[in-house]
Amino acid sequence: MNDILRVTADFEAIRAVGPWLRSVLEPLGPEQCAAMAGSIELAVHEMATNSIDHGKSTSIELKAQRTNDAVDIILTDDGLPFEGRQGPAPHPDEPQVRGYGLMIVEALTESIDYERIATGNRWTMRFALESNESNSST
Amino acid sequence: MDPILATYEMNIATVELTDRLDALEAAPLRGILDGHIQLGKSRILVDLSKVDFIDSAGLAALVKYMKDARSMGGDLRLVAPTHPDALRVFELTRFDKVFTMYDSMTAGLTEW
Repeated sequence: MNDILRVTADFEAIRAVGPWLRSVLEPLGPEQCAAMAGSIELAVHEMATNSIDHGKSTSIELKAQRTNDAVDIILTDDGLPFEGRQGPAPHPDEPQVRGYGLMIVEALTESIDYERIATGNRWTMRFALESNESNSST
Repeated sequence: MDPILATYEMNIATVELTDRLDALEAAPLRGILDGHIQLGKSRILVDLSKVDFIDSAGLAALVKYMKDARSMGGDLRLVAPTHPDALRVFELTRFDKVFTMYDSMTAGLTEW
């Protein structure tokens, strides 16, 4: 698996993330794909939304890479640098309106790495495979 | 199908959503909910049973108007999503414990 999706940075265009993810996860087999696609879509969608909302990006590139026990999704944009979490971290006992995006991504990923690059930002999100035994096609 | 259908019955404003509740759909939803709040309708029931994807932008719209409605003595309650990809954002943020959720619109209207 090694596939790339390039979209303009707007909320309608990033709806292509879900279908693209399902196509790149398909070689993992239907069980693995079904188990992972929804979670990965939510995490990637949150990062793409942050890129548009906070980074003011104009374009977003997504790349999927398979390792032995994980799937990496690398999001590259041309937006403003990430300057850390803005505002307090959300707490469920004190509902706040904003700030849940990164919290959701952190909950869904095995790891998330950020790098400022010459042309923008690069985020690498790692998602652990649910189970190697259910991987039917690799 | 129109993704947002709003009606008003039994002193409860109802809003039915379909498909996705993401950053794109959050804007028209905010308009609908803001209209209810401006008219003093602080008992709002949002049906998420036919929604198959919700992100934090969609959640944020619901949270904002839940807080507004509660500050007016009412509430914004939900018909729970049935699709796991729509329920996930509530579980991850623990808002499934904050919102009052019903299994159906009928249950929401009769049990409120």
